[in-house]
Amino acid sequence: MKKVLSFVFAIVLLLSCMGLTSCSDKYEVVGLSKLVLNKYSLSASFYVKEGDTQEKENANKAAKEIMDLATDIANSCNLSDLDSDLSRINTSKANTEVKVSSHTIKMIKRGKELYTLTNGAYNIAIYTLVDLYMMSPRFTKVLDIDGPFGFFYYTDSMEKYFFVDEYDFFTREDIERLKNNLAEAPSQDKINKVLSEGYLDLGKIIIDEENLTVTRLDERVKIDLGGISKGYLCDRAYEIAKKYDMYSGVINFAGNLYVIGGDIRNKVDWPVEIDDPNDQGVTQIGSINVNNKGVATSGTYQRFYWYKDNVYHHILDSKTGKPADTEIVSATIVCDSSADADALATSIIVLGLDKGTELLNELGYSALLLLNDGTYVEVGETQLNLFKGAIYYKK
Amino acid sequence: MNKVKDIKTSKLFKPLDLVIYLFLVVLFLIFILVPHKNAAKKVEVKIAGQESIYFDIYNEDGGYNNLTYTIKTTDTHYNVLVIEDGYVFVKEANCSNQICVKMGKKNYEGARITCEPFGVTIILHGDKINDDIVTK
Repeated sequence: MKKVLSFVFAIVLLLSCMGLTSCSDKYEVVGLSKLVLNKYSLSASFYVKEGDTQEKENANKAAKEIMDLATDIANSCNLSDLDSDLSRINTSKANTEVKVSSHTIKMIKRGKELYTLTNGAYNIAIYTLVDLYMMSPRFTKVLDIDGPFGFFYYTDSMEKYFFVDEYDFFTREDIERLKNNLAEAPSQDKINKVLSEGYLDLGKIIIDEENLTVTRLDERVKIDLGGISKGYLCDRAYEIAKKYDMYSGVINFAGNLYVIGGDIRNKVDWPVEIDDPNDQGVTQIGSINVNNKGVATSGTYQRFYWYKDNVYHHILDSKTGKPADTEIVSATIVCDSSADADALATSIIVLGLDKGTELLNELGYSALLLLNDGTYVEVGETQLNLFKGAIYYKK
Repeated sequence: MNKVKDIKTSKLFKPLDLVIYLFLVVLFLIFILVPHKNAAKKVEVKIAGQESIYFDIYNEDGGYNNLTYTIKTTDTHYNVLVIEDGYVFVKEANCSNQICVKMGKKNYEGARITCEPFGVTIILHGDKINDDIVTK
């Protein structure tokens, strides 16, 4: 009898030890992910208490609502869809009101505010310049899958995106020469024309918040919301998550984040990892701890091509008409608005270290800036936890 | 020696008990020390300088999401990625060293298949939220 008792006792001891090792698993993950526009990965993941059916149901509803919202927002500002809000604005006649969704209005409104705040470093009317560098969706879109950046795949079905108005800088001869070939950087003459003839004049875009209309005063001005739309989506997704009482989770839209609370399973803040610019983001140099904030990163190491021994990256300065050339190679912004983080990550690289840090301090936003000399700068509350083996030094 | 004798002669610890206890301790140690490899749920294809592309290993009904995808890094470089019955592998590639093909089939979270010549990394993710949190 004693033998049986001791055996049972040992088993109970063993099971309780096992139980102790897995006591962190009181929460389970509920979430959804999908590719938006066949390209951008969106995931909404929440921790809910294991066995709590109400929480689980709420998380499922929140995730579903976020996925639907993503489709709406993406459709509003998809430049590859000629019927989207943005395409209709960019092809509208001057002084004609274009009816758009409330999302489009809100993005343009915040874009205009950020233009003022950043002293023009962030400009949603940058489309023509982006297009001039062959970085707009019409140059990078290949059916539903993108090829390598800087390689212009051309099929006859893409004809509809070209020669649509008299302000297109690309002629039929240009396209014939460039198709199925590597991208070419624009000539200084073309850049000068874009800068001096008001192609990037955001003041020519007028919004009517009440009637949800956008009017272009000049047909040369075209807008691109690529620098704010991912963050904007994360902000709206966060609102949905809060509506369903989610307290721990992550919304991740192609690297733009909104983290909800902290990691409740491990009782820590969310460790948000930062890509290593030196290997184009294949590995990460470290992480920053974030709790209940939006996060976005821009880097000159993403989306670039070589032309005549020079690198042309996608962060363009609307004042010089060229890729930003400052000491910052990567900017990660942490603040209450993921849309602001998204737009500012780009702007801070354009502004450079001194002006960029000044603006961030003024706004009270935190940031991690990686510089081209292998050092990093922490702004505000951000602290980088370097991974073992990462060669970066604090400035 | 006396202690061992005591254990051997005591009524609570008989030789058979010791065997059982040792067996349980070994079982416990195996449980603690052997790394648990969870089945992967998602495949990320990272190409240097580009947005990642994601594929689900399971479909919405819980069945396997089998597919073949050709990763083109230039107009001539390619790796053929296959996701089949929960396993992920590179079936074919025209890279110089063929390491990605030789790495074989993977099915657990955290596993990686890399093709250095073309700058392609294939990463298998599980269902931990932490897998996702890289800002770009």
